[in-house]
Amino acid sequence: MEATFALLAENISKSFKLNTGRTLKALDGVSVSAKAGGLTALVGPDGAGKTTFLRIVVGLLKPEGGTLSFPSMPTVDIGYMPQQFGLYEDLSVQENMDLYADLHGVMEREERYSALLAMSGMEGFRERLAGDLSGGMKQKLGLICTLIQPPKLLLLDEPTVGVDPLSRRELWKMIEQLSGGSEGMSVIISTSYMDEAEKCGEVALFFEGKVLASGPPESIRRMADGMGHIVHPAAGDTPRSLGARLLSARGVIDAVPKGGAVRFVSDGPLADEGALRGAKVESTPVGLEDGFMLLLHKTASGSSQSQDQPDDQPPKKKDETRPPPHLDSSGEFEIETQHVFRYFGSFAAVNDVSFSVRKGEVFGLLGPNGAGKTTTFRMLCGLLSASKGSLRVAGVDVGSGTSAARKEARRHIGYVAQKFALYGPLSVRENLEFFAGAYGLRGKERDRRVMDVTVNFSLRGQMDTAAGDLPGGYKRRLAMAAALMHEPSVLFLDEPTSGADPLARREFWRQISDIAEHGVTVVVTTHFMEEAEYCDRVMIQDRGRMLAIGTPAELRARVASPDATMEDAFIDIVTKARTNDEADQS
Amino acid sequence: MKLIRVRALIRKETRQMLRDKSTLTLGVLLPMMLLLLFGFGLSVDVKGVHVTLARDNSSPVARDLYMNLKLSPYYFTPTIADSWHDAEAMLRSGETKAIVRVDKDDGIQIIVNGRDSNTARIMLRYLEGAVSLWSSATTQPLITAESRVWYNSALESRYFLVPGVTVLIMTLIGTLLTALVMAREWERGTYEALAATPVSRFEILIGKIVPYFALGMVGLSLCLATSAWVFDVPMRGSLALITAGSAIYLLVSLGIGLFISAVVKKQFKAGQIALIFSLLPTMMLSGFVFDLRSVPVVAYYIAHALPATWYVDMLQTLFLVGNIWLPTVRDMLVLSAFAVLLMGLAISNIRKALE
Repeated sequence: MEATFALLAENISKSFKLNTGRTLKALDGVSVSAKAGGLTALVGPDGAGKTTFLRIVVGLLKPEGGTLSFPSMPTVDIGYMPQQFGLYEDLSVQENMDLYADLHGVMEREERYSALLAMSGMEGFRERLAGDLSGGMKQKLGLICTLIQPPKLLLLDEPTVGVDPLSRRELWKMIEQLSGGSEGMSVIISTSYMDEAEKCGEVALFFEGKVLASGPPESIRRMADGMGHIVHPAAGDTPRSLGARLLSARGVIDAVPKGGAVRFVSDGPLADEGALRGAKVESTPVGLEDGFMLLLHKTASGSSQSQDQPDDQPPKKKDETRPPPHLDSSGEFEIETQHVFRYFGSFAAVNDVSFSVRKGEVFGLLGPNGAGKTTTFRMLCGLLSASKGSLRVAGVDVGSGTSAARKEARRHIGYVAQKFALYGPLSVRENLEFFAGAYGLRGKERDRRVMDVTVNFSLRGQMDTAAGDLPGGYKRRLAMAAALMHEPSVLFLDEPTSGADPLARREFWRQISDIAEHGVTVVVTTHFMEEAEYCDRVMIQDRGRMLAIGTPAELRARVASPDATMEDAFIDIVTKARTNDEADQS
Repeated sequence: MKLIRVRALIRKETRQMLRDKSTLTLGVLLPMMLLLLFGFGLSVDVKGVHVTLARDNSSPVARDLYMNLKLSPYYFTPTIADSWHDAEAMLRSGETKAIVRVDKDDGIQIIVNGRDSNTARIMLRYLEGAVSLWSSATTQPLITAESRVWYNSALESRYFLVPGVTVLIMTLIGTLLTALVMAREWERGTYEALAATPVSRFEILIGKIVPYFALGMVGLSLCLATSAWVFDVPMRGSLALITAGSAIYLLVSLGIGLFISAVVKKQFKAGQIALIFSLLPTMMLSGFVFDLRSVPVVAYYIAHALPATWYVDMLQTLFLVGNIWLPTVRDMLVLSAFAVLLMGLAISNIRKALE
């Protein structure tokens, strides 16, 4: 029996000393087994211990306790691809491959190279510098370098983080070929995508240094059997705000907008019927993610501190019966752009983009890496001028306007950068006071606003913690609190959920929903296609051009299949446009 | 240790080095600039000093002295002022640096602008020398002292500074560049990927040392060539000894750089530490600009804890004096000890584990 396991890890523990002098228990008695020749997924929120575990398996960290054995391997032969794979950006694809071939002592390499390059569709890129590859291709090259000497056991640490859906599919095709292929490789992969975990033979759910559950995806999915529900919002309600209300209702474990409705998981009858506002509930089959949310929810409500689900929930608003929010349909636009171009040299990063966003709307910008989202974003925020075209934000011309005009516009704009611009050594309070000062708030007014955002983002318990020491979820909240300090009418968020786990993402969208209900226009870029469902409207960009714009339902409707997901729609739209491009060129 | 892996690492490092413009700028262009800057710009010699001869009468004495100053080996640029008042005005405006006053009774007074005490002292001595030379030519002296300056007979401070700059450049290439490149591996996550391959830390270290050692030796040849052909610094000791000593110092300097970056793991910090703890002390304390015999005792001991001090001593001896075995061998032994110590520290701090 034993010989069928590529890895048996039992009771592994590991702790780290933090700068603050505290000890962090990164792994607390973790046991994981991986079948030989199989695909095993490690899932769980950020900081759950997945990376530490993989590093221990590969031998980069020493465990404090527990045993590791590799029954199916006579000699231990492990390949490891770290999260931030070490490609040398100033070396070409070929040179990177040569380096790793030499380091592994692989002599007969040409055949291996061609096979791997063909498998990843990168044949044409041998001479390209690794630094000039797209994010998805870099990951593929990283995988190739790990595979030059095919290991018996392959460890992949979040290989698809920050990779757009198209490249993610291609990368997964490679991974599935490896584990199913003639090489009989065993693969352990850590991921925050549930659809990826679902493709694996076994999953292990990590949470706060422990394994909450492990087994085939099916066994975990089944835990949530009968708890899945779907509800269509009543007239005048939106899926986003219905979802947000459901999440704060008792007994509800998870609620996400999907296909114009809200899918939610509850372990029992809904106690708080008011949250539904009369909408009718139907039941729906559950998936792996529901099982996980259930497990996480049970553990999180049991333990006193979960980093992303604050125990000090924002105080329930008194106006529970407030009428559902309406988009301002008077035709008043908060953002209007017309035929915007932006060139860097002769390269058009943004190529003829026009769209408008209404007041109070949540507007999503989607697109693969390098699609021009960030450039569009920077122009809207007045950080970059447009080469051609007009951009108006909050009634101010930011595209070609004077710097005084842009300055004026910035008073109405809140901006949350991708890497939250916070001062690490300053405490939460000091950060907030600084940003208040930067927006020109003084005295009582300043104190009032700092107090407001502190309450709204449940930061009170952390006021004296240094921003750098905050867990990821709190950092995001602090960054949003700082950006909303001056009560802007538009909030821009650049990839706010990149690298965040599902729990943190739910929390984030609940806050966005809250902000939008207060009439703030929200513009957000994201990699997670299912998050587009939270938006009122989305725009898909690729290679600088605008490919599609509309409500999530409208975009989904473009795909023939009836139960198409946002991701299907996205991939369909982008590939069709690319095929047309290539047809035009030939 | 496997040759194929070491070769692969060296090749990778060399490619990166050649493609990264900032490395080459720092490794080749900057040394040349420093050398030219220090060689031509920084000189503690006093030459072509503007001297005003103030004469209060029209006796031939002043005229004679003027001619003598003009022709003196110390090379002055004299002018004549017809009154003390005019001369004083010139000194005040900075037009002139010193006044030689010949009064009504042919008595001679020397006045020097003492703002920069060092220069003032040198000017004063030169002027006294010139005046006494002139007076000894006119009167018969009882004793004549014949003075000679050894090793740097022309008293060219450049001869003494250029070897010092070589030290600075070796330190710059060795410490600053390697501190940055190793830290870069940590920052970009390439180290984790390397660590997961069969490579040993010794191989990683060799892979870093070889290319930067080569770059350092290129820098050294540039320095030597420039000092020989551009600045005409005499090279009295053997080239082989100079090269050997420099090679040892380069290893010391690489060791410091690798040690720094193995410990701090951040490019920015590594750069700062390299500058503050290595480059600045090398400039200030190695005896390259300031003579160590005149510094306070504490500074003297600190200076001798710096490898650079021993290298400066060795180079200045080899350049200006010649092959003097005892001090040269002593300097080399001290430097070798430093090299072994620092390389050891570097390798014990480059862990393969990520703890």
